[in-house]
Amino acid sequence: MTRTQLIGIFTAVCLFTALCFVFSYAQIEKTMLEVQKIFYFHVSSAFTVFLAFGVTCVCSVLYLIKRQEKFDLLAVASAELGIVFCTIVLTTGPIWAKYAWNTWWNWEPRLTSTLILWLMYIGYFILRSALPEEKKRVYTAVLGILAYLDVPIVYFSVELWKDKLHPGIETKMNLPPTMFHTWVVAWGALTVLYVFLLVLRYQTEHLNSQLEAIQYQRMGNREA
Amino acid sequence: MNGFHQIGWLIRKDLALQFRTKDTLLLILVFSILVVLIFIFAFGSIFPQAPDERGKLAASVLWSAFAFAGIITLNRSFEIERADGALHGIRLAGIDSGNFYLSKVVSNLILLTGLEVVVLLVGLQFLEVFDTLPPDLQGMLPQILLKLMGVFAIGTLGFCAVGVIVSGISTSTHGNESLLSVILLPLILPVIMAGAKCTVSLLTLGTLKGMFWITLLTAYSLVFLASSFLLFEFVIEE
Repeated sequence: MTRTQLIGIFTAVCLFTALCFVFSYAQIEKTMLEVQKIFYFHVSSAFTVFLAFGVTCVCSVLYLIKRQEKFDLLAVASAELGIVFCTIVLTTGPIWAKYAWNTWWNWEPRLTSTLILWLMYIGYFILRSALPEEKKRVYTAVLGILAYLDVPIVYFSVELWKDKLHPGIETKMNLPPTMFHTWVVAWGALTVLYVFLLVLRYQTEHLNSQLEAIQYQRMGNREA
Repeated sequence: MNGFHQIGWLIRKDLALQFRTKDTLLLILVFSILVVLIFIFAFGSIFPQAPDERGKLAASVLWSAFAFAGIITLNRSFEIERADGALHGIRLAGIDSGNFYLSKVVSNLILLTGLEVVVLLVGLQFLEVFDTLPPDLQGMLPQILLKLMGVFAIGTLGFCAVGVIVSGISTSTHGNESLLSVILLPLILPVIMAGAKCTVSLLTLGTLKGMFWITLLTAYSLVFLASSFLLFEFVIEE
């Protein structure tokens, strides 16, 4: 059994455990009932988004310093996963908002800053696909760093901006122990899932890059 | 030639190019005024009448106009460097990448701030903000306008700090004009938010006292000026 398969099995176990915690261990919240269980995946996904884009930023810095292809591949794979987890936040958020505040969209700071982040990193991939081969690695690394530097400022400004707009909504909550434990387990499971998918995406990108190198070599040989 | 001389000469070169042809200047001026007009016509009869509502609307209209005009300016300013290998010439002349970046920021800042002075006055008149200003603020109008220009200058510095490096990247792609907007607009949202909040505060209360937004705007500008200064070398390397 390969190492990737082992990580895959471990991920499946973690996710199953998290689901067990969510549906059997965590107590049911009194006002939102079962819908509150979205919270465990919504907030955990938001944390994973920051982790994923953080890895993109660190790998981008390392790529600019060391110019090793693996850092570029890791940065791109992590940014892709960041977008996936961002999409989870952006789909679970409105479901939560509908039940909590009776509206599909609310300019709640976490949701709004996730939308901005999502747009930023979609731009990252549009740029990568539009750039010529020899420039795309360096340029996307630069953008990966700039975008991540913007994350705390965006979050902070949206929070400030929102406070004036919707003063009534209190998002901070004190969790009872069962809910807190469940959230920690769900967060851990999603982080393991992120690592597993990152390994898979990295391997795929690495194979793609090797394939491209072989194709270029063959083209070169034919022309010669 | 030391760093300051290099920056000075590059700014002179950029401004000379812009003022010699004047096509970009005219384009961004007309474009900004058109954006203001489009907002006015789109709002039509539902245009808010209360002074504070008008101030809020004017802030959003003006910042939208400046953001769009800024994108055009940044695109143009880098296109001329990419065309005919001008950038190679600059690199061969031994110009430091950081100095080149700073010169681009300053020349775009000068152009955009000049534009903002004109569009601010025209826009506020078109949006009838001067006439609907509360009586206690009428006497403070020159100070309010000066403070507004200060806010716009700081916001534009933040905009140019990020915009110059992003336009440096996007001009090396095909279809770069639309690409710059897609990449740059999400990055500069804090500038738009903070700038609009400060503008609203000045147009409705006449002061920035107790406003955290101006600190945020300044911090944003400085953080991105420093980080882009360090990263710019990678954008113009060959």
